[in-house]
Amino acid sequence: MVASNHISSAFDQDLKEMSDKITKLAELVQKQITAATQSLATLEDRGLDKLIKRDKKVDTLEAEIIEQAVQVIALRAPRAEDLRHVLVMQKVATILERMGDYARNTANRTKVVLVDGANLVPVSKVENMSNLLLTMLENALEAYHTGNRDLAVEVRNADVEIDKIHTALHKEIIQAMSTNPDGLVSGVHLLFITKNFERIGDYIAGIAEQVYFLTEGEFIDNFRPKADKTSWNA
Amino acid sequence: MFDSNEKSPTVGNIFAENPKISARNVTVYYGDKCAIDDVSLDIGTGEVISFIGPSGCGKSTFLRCLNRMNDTIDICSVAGDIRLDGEDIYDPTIEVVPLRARVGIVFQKPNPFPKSIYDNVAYGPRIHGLAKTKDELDDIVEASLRRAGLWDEVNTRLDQSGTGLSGGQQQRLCIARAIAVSPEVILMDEPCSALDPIATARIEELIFELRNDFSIAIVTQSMLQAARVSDRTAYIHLGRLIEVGEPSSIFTTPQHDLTNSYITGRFG
Ligand SMILES: Nc1ncnc2c1ncn2[C@@H]1O[C@H](COP(=O)(O)OP(=O)(O)OP(=O)(O)O)[C@@H](O)[C@H]1O
Ligand SMILES: [Mg+2]
Repeated sequence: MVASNHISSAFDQDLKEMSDKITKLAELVQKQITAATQSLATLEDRGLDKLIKRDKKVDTLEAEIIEQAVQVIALRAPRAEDLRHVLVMQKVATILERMGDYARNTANRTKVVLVDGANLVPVSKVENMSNLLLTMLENALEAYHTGNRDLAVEVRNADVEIDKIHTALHKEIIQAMSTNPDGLVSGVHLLFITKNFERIGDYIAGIAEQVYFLTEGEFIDNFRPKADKTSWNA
Repeated sequence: MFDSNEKSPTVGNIFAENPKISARNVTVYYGDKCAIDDVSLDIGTGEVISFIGPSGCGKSTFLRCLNRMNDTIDICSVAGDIRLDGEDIYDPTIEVVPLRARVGIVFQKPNPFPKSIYDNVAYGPRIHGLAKTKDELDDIVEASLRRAGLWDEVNTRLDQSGTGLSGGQQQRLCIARAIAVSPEVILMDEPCSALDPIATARIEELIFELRNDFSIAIVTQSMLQAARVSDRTAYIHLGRLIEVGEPSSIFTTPQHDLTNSYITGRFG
């Protein structure tokens, strides 16, 4: 949803630059999540160290977007949809950066799991969870770029599926750990990895909520379907 | 969003709870050129309402209707109904001089009389017989200059000419002159357009202080100023009142396409 058609073409240019950076950052984060998932799913190190190093790029892009948001607010005093757009881009940048952190953390833990070698749960289930997340993220970004409110609401509500998967995996991993003491280390890391993915789901829902704010000018009501029950039956 | 192409009614609440001025279906022509097109709006008691819109949209014209300043322009004709406390101000029995004491005006260009600072402020109270003694008149002059935030700068040279003041001081002098006759409504047409940020802030602070005692209608080219000083903001476009609402919604979620284009600086 690149704002344009301002009398000041330099203002259009600023907004476009920011929006292009959001696209770049989003693509980078997608790549990070995909890469972390691949190593885990194949139980082979597919460039985990590279992934971990790439997180710096994520941080830098986020910082650039925030800096530019400050500039635009100070110099152009954006109003109405323009102000929301700048605020949303800043917020989405921060959300994407956090998602990047979870991808990096997942890579770190995957390295331990690979060394440990225990095959506690079918990693394909974790891979499925990640694939669902990537689809959600794709939709959230499309909703952002096209200003599609309905798609944003759909994405936000889809997070409940991630919660369900997480709850099921959580149980399964703990069960496997209780019958297989050799797998405790991998088990603990897998618990954290699935938790990372669950958090990434929340963040994607957060992006969707920002899109809603952008298009509607008000916040979506706070009720969001939740189905993460891991803290109740652990 | 409301479509910009059709002639839609004003978006937002044109009514005030406790109207000081009620304008209904006001239409103004200069010769055969329509400058205000069927505008209806209340200005509440103690309310600050700001008018924004592109140059030439009719802001000054509408403001001038409210104390019949347009009467001084030969080719100008005003139709519709404008009431002050329920009384039709265009009724033939209404005298404009006392009307203009009740509804004062401050123009974009400060226009002090070529008289002393004291006489500039004392002029109105004198012709309206508001002071019985010299002491009373002195009090009115001092109180008005204080409220306008000018007293400290001029109290040692009240006998000097008002035209010898700086632009910002002249503007505050004109405001002192306007409030000296205890008006009920003050109309301000871009009062800060020639002022620096400090003088502007002073005038805005003054508006803030006056807000409870007077109704204030202010035309401004500064959207930030409109947002800062007013209870409601009205957007005028080509003589039509497009939208009116609280600044917190007008400047964040305008409802009409035309308002949106204007406040976000887009081609409308
Ligand atoms: N005395 C006049 N004689 C003829 N036409 C006039 C007169 N005063 C204003 N107009 C016309 O009426 C329209 C509205 O003018 P007005 O001065 O009310 O606009 P405005 O919104 O106050 O503009 P600005 O922001 O430039 O002060 C304009 O088209 C203007 O040319
Ligand atoms: Mg004007």
